[in-house]
Amino acid sequence: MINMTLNKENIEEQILLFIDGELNEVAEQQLMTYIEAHPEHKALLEAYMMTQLADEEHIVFPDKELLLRKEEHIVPFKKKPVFARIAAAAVLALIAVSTVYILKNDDTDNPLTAINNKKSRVEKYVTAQQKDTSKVLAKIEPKQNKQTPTIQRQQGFKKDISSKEEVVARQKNDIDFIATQQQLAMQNVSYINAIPQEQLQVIALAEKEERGGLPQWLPIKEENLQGLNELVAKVQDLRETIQEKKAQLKSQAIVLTVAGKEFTIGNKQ
Amino acid sequence: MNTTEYNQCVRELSDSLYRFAWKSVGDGEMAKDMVQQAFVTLWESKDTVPFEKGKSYLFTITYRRCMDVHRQRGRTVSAENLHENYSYEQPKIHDLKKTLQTALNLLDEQSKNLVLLKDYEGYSYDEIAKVTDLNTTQVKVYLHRARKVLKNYLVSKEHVI
Repeated sequence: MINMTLNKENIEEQILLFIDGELNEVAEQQLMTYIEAHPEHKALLEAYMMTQLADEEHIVFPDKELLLRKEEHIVPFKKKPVFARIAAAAVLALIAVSTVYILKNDDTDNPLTAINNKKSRVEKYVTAQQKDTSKVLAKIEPKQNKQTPTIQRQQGFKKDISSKEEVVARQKNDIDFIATQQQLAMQNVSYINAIPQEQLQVIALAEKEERGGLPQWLPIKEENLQGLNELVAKVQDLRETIQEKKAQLKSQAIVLTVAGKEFTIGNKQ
Repeated sequence: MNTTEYNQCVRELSDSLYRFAWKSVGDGEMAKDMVQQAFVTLWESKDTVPFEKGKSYLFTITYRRCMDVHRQRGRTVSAENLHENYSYEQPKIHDLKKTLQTALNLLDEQSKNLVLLKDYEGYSYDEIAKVTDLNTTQVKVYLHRARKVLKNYLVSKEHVI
């Protein structure tokens, strides 16, 4: 409402606007000041204030519940059968495991790390090969010294020396082959160490592009491992023979007779 | 509005709507029916009525229904008639609240409803104009006239408390 000058003619309208709450704070203040200055209008103000209806808060609508409607509840995920949930959990677990495995084995992100990893792999391989070689030598050399007299004593005849030497020669060939591979591997390590870091990064990136074929950094080829594989096959045969002997011994049964009764120990065939 | 907002309207507005209807028609059961009908109408058209318009929508429906009831009853007491009658009507109880209710019931339906909307709901002239399909000036004039009638009734020699 626009503020205006109060007088005898408009005081009633201003009081009515005040009763209806249509005056702003300034206008209200003006009205109060005017009435204080002209107390003859105070009775009019009080009379109009009596026309305001009192609150009837005690009157409440009794059937409110009848008017309420069922609200739609937001369900983020629809309930599914048990097997579907189990399948979903299995898939999630598989994805998680795969992700961890990939992240753990993926060294292609950082080319420098990949090169360093290759170096450490080559070094580990060389160390392992050296250990294997020393083990093989340690086993074979004493055998040559001990086996000959033992065989002579047990069999009571002179062993054919030439056939034994052939076996030893073949074994030595295998060892020589492994030693050669070690030297190649060592050369590979020194070669990698000699390459500057920048070039290593370039090589690693190039290898990353060529991914799909056999790793280039391996010091030996698969066909060259044939002799070693034969040794492994022989060891496997020996193991199987020992297992068979063990099984035969277990299958034999001993029968004891005590006070006319027979007691069997072991498996009766 | 959605169902949640509709229910909020029920919780927040049903009491005041009921009060308004009851004071307007003077019949609790009829007021209850009016409120239910107003909310049924709101529910049916809730998709087109925004939540912030819910209150004025409900009061407009109820106001129109009240006016229909008054028309059906065929009792329209003009302010002039009231002014003529109040001098010889003797209120049995000299109590401001009851005297005021008596005076209110002697107002014409439209003036009575305007006073109810103003005093119970605290609507502004503009808001009352929207609910009643009157313009703001009409609302102001009708309301001031109704206040004068009520004041004259209360301060008359017979009804002075």
